[in-house]
Amino acid sequence: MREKLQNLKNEGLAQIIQATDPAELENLRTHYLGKKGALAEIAKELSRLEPEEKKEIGQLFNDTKTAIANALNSKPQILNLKPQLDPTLPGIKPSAGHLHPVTHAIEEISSIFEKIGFVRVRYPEVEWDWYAFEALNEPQNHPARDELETFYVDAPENSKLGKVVLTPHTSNGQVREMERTKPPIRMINIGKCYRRQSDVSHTVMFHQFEGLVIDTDINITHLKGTIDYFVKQFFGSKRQSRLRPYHFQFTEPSFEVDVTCDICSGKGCKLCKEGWLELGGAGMVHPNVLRAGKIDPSKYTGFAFGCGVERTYMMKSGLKIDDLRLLYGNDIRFLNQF
Amino acid sequence: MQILIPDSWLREYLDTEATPKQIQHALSLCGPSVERLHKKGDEYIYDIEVTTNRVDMMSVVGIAFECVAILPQFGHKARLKKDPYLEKVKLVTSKKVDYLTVTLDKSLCYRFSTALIKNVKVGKSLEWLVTRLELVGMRSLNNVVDISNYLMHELGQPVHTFDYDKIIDHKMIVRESRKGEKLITLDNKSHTLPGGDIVIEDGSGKLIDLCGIMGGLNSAVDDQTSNVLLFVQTYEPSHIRKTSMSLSHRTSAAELFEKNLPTENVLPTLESGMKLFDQLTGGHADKTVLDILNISEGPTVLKLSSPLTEFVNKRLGINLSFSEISKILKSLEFVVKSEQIIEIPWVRKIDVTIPEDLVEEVARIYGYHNLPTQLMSGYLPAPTGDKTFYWEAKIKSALSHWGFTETYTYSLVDKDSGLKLKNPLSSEWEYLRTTLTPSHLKTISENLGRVGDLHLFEIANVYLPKKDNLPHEELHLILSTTNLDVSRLKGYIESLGLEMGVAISPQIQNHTIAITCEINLEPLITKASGVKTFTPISKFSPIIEDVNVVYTGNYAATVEKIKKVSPLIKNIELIDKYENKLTLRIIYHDDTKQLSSSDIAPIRTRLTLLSG
Repeated sequence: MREKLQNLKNEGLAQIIQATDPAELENLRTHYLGKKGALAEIAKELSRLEPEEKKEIGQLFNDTKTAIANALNSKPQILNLKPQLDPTLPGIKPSAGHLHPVTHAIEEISSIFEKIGFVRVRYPEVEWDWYAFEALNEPQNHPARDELETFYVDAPENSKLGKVVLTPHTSNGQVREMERTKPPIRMINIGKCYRRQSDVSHTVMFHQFEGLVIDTDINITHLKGTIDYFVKQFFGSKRQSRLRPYHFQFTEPSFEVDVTCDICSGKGCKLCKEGWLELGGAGMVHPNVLRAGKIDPSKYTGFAFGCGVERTYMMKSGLKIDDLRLLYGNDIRFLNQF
Repeated sequence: MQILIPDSWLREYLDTEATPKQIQHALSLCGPSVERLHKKGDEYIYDIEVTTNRVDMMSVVGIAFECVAILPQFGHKARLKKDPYLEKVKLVTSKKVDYLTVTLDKSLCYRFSTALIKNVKVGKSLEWLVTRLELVGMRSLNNVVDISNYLMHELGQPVHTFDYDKIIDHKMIVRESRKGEKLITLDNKSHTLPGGDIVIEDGSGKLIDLCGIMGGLNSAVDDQTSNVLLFVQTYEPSHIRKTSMSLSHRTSAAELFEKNLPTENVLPTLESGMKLFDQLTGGHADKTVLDILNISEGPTVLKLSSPLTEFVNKRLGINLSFSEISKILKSLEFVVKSEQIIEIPWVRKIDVTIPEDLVEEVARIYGYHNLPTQLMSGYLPAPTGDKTFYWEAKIKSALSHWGFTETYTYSLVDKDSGLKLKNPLSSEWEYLRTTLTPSHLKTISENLGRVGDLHLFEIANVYLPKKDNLPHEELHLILSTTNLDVSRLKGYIESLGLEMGVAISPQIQNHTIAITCEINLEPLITKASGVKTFTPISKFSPIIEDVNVVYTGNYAATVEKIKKVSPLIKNIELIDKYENKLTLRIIYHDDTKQLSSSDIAPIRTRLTLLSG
C-alpha cells in the first residue's frame, strides 16, 4: 500500500512536470483527484486497514493528495511564466560584406548568355593595334577611330601588329576568338576597356560585354532573337528592344540596339530619345573581319554586339546613379548599398 | 555627325503628306536617327544623327532622298520635287579660262571648279536666308558668306569664295605644303603647317588657302569686294583629315571632305551657287566655268558572284523575291541590271562597295522591325576549359559572405614601375599598375572615419611588362583590413585555400593604416579543384583533449614534433596562444578499434615530456 502510494505520487508529479498545456493538466486532475480517480480508489481501500497502519498510511495518503493538488495548482503559473518571443525585436545579423555593382551586373549578364550556349572568355586589356582596330576593318587614320578616344602605351611597336593600346572596346576579342577556335562560335567576352574620357557619363576605365556568333547560316533574325532574349531576361518581360540602322566599320549591316525607357515606359521623356534608350551597337560581322580571322565569308556568316556593362546596369529599372564615376570612387557608403 | 533640317526646307525637295512626327518615326527606324524634333514658332526642325559612312545625308537633299525611299514603307506617298542627283547641269565648262591660271597636283585635287562672278554687291542677306541659317544654328554674316553656308547645308558640298582681286596675277598653284610654311585662316588663327597639307599658292610664294579646311585671310571676301571666285572642289580625303587633326582645326568643311565627296556633286553645286549670286548679290558669272576633272566618273557597277536574291535572303533570314528586292533598290536610285549586276548611283558610290552593303540597304528599307525574331539552332561550341571565371565568382562570393566588401579601383595609377601611357588624361592615371596594394591603401585612407571597420577585397589584373610583347596580365586578389590581426586575416586566406583545395602561403604586409595581403591567383586557379574525396566515417569515436605546450616561436615545428609522437594523433588544432604557452586540441583516433583512456595514457606522458 505504501509502495503503491509512493509510486502514484512520483508518477503523478512527473506527468505534471512534463505537461505542456492546460488541457493536459485537466486530464491529469481528473485522473488523480477525480471522484473515480486513482486516489479515490485507494481511499476505498484505506477503510479496510488496521488502525495502526491506517494512521501511517492515512498520513501518506494525505501527503500524496496534497502534493499532486499543489503541483496541479501551481503548474499553470509556470506555464504562463515561460518568456514570450517578441517578434519585433531585431535579430543578430552575421557581418556581411558586399559585392560591387559591376560584379553583380557581370554575373547576371554572363549567366543569361551561358544559358543559350555562349562561352565566356576574356582577352587582353592591353592590346595590339591590330586586334583593336586594323583587323576590325579600321585602318590607321580612319575617321571611325575618332569616337574611340584611345590610350597608347609607351612601348615599342610590333612590325606586324602595330602599336600597343589600351583596348577601347571588347571587340578586340572577335578576331582573337576566331584564332582560338573554329566555328561554330558563340562567344561572350566581358572585360575592362579604357577611353580618354572622364565626366558624369564616362569613366576612363569601364566594362563591356561583346557577343560573337559565327556559323554557316547565321542571319539578322538570330541577332534580333538573341538581343530580345537578353533584354527580356535582364530588364524584364515588359521592356521592348529594337534595331536601328547605324554604322560600324566591323559590321555590315550595322545597328544600334534600343530598349524602351523604364522612366516613361516608352512614351518619351527628358532622359530618353522619344521613349528609347541606346543599349549598344550590333551588326552582321563584316567579311573583312572574318577574313582577318581566317574564316571564309562565302561559307560562314555571323553577328556581333557590344554594350557597356555599367550603362546596361544603370538602365535596369529602379537603379538611378547620376554620376558613373561613383562606381570607381569606392566610397564605402556607396559600396555598402549593393 | 549631327545636322539640323527645318521641315519647310526639306519640303522644298520633298513632296509628301507625312507629318513631321511620322517622318521622324520612319527615318529613325529605317534611316538616319532623328534624335529630337524641335519646334520653333511654326517650324519643326529635325535633329538628325548621320553616321560617318553616309556623308551624303549631311544635307537637306540627302535627307529628302532618304525620305522618298523610306516613307512609302510606312504607307506615306513621297516623291522628290527636283532631283539634283539626276538633273543635268547647263553650264559652259572649260579646262582653261582666261581669268585664272591653275597649276594642279592631280593626286591632291579630284575636281577643281570655279566661276568668276563680277560686280558683286556685298551686303546684308535677305530675311528668308537669315532665318533659314538661324534655324540650322548658323549666324548670318553677309550675303556672300551666307550663300556658301547655305549651299553646303542644302547640297552637302562645301563651297569657298575668294576675293578675285586679292589674288595677284590671278594665279593658283595647288600643291602640298612644305614643313613650316605659315598661313592665317579666315578666323584670324595663324598656323605653322606640318608639311604635306593641301594648299593654294598665288605664284609669289604666298599661301592663300588651306584647302578643304578654311580659306586664307589674305584672300577673303570683305565689304569692298566686287569680284568673287566661287570655288567648288573635292580633295584627296586622307590629306584633309591629317591636316585637320594635326592642326586641331575641325571645320564642317573638313568633316565632309575627309570622308571623300563625289566629284559629281561639284557642278550642280556650282550652278546653284551662281543662281543664288545672281539673285542675292546682283553679281553675274563669266559665261565659262573652269572645270578640271582628274578622275573618271563612269557608272559604278557592283558585280556579285552569287545571285542577289539568294545573297540577301541568306543574311536576312526571310524569303524576298527578286522583284521586291529590286523595288527597294530602285527607290534608292540603284539600277538593278540583273541578279548579279547592280549599278550604284553616284551619290552612294563611296559607301556602297561590297554585296553586304546592298544587304544593308534592302534590310533597313524593308525594316528591321518587320523581320522575325528567333534564336539560332545548330551545334554548340566547345567549352574552353578555363576555370578562372568559376573560381573568381566563388572567391568573391565567399569573401563577401565573410564580411569583406568588394572594390573596383582603376588599373591606371599615378606611380608605378610598370608601363607608362603615351597620352594620359591626367597625372592621376599615368601608369599601368603591377600591384593592387597602393590602390587599396588609397581607398582605405579615403574611407577612414566613414564607417567603423574596413574589410575590403578586389580581384583584378596587374600588368607585368614583357620585352617586345604585350604585358603579362596576371589576376591578383587583394584583401585589406583596418582592424583584424594578422592571424585572423591569415585565417580567411587559409579558408579560401580549403575552398579551392590548394595551399596558399600569404605575404601579409603591415601598413600604418591597414594590413593587406596580395595574392597571385593564377597558379592557384591552375591547381584548384572543387572535387572532394570521401573518407568513410569511422564506427569508432575519437578521443579529444586539450594540452598545453611551450611555445618555442615556431608553431609548425612544434606541430611536426607532436605528430611524430604517435600515429594515433590524427589532428592538431590551435585553440589559444597566451604568452609562451600554446593550447592545442589533439584528436586521437584509430580506424580499427575504439580507443580508451588507457591507450592514450603513454602518449600523454610523452607529450608532457615534450612540453616540459
